[in-house]
Amino acid sequence: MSAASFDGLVAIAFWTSIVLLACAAGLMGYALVLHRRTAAVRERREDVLEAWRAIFRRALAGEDAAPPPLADTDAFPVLAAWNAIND
Amino acid sequence: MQLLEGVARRAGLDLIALSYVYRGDAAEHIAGATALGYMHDDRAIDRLRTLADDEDGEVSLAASGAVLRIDPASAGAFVARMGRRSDWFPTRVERVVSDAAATIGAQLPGAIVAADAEERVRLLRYAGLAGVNVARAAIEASLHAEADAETIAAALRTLRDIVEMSDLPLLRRYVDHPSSAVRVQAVNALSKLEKPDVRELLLVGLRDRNGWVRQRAAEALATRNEDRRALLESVGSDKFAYQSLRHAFEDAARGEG
Repeated sequence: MSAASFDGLVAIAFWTSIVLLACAAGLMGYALVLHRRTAAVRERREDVLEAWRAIFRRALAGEDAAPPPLADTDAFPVLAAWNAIND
Repeated sequence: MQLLEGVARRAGLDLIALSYVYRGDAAEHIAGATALGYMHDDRAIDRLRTLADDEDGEVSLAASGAVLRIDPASAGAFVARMGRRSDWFPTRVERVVSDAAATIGAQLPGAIVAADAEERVRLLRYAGLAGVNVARAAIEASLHAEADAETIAAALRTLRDIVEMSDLPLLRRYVDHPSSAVRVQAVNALSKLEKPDVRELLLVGLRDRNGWVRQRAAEALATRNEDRRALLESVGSDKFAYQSLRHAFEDAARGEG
């Protein structure tokens, strides 16, 4: 093998590893953003659910409350919370 | 409760529940049916009656419970299904029975007479929750001359929680029954009675050929206010009875400590 072709192989290996590292870093960054976004959504849903639980508890205690608009995504846990307070 | 229901309706939970029972998956069927039951909302009653026969036991029980809340006159159908469905989770069934004790209690004795052996055992399990009178009627309906051992054992298990001294002649009949399952339950029921007359019957149980019966009788004797030395002497040369009693005394002492 000539010295020139050896240098070529080293250059290819170097740039390939740089590209792979960049891809891995990008994927990790994306996963981190996704994780934070999911956690934020989960936290928001938990806040919404807790607000509904408080409304139901007050209604059970005889205090009327105007329910806030119910988003489709919150419907199931809110209905489950309403069932639970009736149990 | 009316206020709670009002808030739910203003929030549109009734419409969500209705959509769940028609379109959802099993979890949504359960949540929707349960909510409609609590709201006494009969708009989807036919759909709930269909779901009551769903092959998923949880869906079936939630829908059956909802139908019962909405239409108490359907208690007969609920009780029939309660006997039939072996996949209903017992503690959830107990909850429904406790909540609708009067309506279900009115149906139970008749259903027990009409049920087959397997269903009768299942129904007897819940009879105690529908009140003492219902339990007594259910037990009476079960303990007929041709009753099989499983039915008798289930009836005695129900009797255990409501047993009185007047039941002593009945229990006397079963302490030497050929089935050990029956004898265990007879001894269990006897163990709830404090009077001295019971002592002799418990001693019969203590000399039983079955270890479970002996253990139950020994535990019952050990918790009574009796002279322990005299009891140990009274079993004579029966070493199994002696050992059962001694272990029961040791366990009782450990419990006291």
